Amino acid sequence: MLGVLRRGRLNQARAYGLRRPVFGPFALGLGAVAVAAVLAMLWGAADIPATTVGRIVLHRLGLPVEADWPRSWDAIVWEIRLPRVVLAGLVGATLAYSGAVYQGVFRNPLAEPYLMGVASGAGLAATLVIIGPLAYSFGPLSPVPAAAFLGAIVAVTLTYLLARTSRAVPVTTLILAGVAVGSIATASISYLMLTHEERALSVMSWLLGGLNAASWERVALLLPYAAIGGLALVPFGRALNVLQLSEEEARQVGVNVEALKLGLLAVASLATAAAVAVSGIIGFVGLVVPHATRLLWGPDYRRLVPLSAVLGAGFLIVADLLARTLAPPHEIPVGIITAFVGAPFFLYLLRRTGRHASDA
Amino acid sequence: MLSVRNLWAGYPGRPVLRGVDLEAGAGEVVALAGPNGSGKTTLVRAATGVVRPERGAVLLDGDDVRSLSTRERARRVAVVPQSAALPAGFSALEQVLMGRTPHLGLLESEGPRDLEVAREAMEATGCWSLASRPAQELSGGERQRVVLARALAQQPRILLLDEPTSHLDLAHQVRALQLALRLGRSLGMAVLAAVHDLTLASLFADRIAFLSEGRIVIDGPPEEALRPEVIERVYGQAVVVLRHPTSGRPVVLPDLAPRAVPRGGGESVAG
Repeated sequence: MLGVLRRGRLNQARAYGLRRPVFGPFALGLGAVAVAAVLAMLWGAADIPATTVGRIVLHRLGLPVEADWPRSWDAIVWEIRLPRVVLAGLVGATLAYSGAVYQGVFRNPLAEPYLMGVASGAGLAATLVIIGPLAYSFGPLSPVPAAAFLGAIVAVTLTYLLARTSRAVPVTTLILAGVAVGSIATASISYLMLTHEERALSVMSWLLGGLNAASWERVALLLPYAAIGGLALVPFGRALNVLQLSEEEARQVGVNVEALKLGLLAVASLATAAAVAVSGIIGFVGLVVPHATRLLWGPDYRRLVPLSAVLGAGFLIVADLLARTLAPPHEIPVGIITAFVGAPFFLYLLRRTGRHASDA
Repeated sequence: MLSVRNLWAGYPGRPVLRGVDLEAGAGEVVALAGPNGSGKTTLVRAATGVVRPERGAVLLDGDDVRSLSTRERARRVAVVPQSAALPAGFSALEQVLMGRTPHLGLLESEGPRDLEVAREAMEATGCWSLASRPAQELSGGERQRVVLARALAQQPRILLLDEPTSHLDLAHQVRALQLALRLGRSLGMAVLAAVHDLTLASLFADRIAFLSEGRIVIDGPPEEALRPEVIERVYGQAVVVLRHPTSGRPVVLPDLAPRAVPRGGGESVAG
């Protein structure tokens, strides 16, 4: 067409932010997650020396360390603290990368992974199980996560089908349908709580979300969804970037918009449903973390999705650490901590965006 | 080449196009004129598969739009929309690289070849110097050039311009159309440009097609299409047609004499 690009020009173009490094920030984020995890492992109601915590973990990993600690410490470190830290990391990462994807698909900075009814659907199903006769008959293998997972999937599917017109699923209709489905579920939860007062507190504590029921079983429940979801979504960064044009323009540059939307929302919703199933409704992580990531490293979804995951993991590990250590011997539901951190940050974002909008 | 055959299309309960026939051959620049609401944008949308035809067809290089995948369609036809979305935070070069989408796999990243195509497109539209500038810092004229470069990066055979100049000042309008014309000529693209300004259409187009109430009422070279009685019928506005002093092309001015018959929805031809 117009002559051949020389090698020097190519490097020059590379300097225009084309191949933005993702590994540096990612490694940095992983480092922060590791620090948060170590802190969370050391800190707790039981006063176990740091070196002993380390030796217990090494012992459990099969290294030749002599076990000279009380058996209860072993259980606290390996069966309580570690699965809790791992679960917090997985839930935080899942909510955050799903939030980033939701924001990308809806092209709306206020979108979050509960927008299509995941949380309220899971909440209603969990409530039904908690007030029903089944909840306490399974012992440690509670049917609540499975019910919550199914409830979430049903609600999201319903929202999607309600918003669907003959050829497309407009995102504004999706949001409104999500609000409608969510309202009905929330109203049902309120009604059930009022009519089953004796279980209202259990329902409430589930709805507020928390990691106090963390166990290796729950880690195993979430891990496949979290990992497969993340691995499946990260490569769609470029497609999400193109989607930031209008949907019509995205289609005109060759993106199959409806298929892309359906695929991304399905994967993100599945992963979110699994996270909600094991930890209840933890708010603000999926909203605030992608934004913080955007502020730190820009709007490119090729970076935003993986970096949100790392930041989300770190954020929820720290929030959960605060939740269980701020007011001993009581535990504050972690959803309250994330709301206290998240809501002011959210307001800050709103005011910031508002100022930008009025500048334009 | 682009060929529109007896196209009926529109929105539920509101047919906008009612049997449109139109051709634009390789290297040809066709201006599409007509009042607001006459269906110019609908035609552009139908040609890119955004609006589904009820009857008739749009053929891109001989193939029905409906038979092509989104990807294949975007390799054949590119659009410069009325006001393009340029997502904030992405550099001009990144915006242009988004035009490489139809040449990449769903999960593929841009390679050196794509960068080369993007650079050539940006040099052709004179915006390579803006490559590292974020979208929100670009002026209206700069944005237009970036969007045109994005369309060129698709390497289409057909270029659709939907009122590409409506937000631009006179100099940028002229430059944008000159550029589109030159690109159509040098790259052998078929160019269809929806325009409001009949004088600009006259100066830059090989043919002018008038769309009125969903049909093409006249389609021919500017000398033939820009006749006072045609324009009056299309817009409901009396006009006088003069000769451009240097190019000799017809120039349209509104006639404010009392015989002017305003019509609902009519558009001032003075643009």
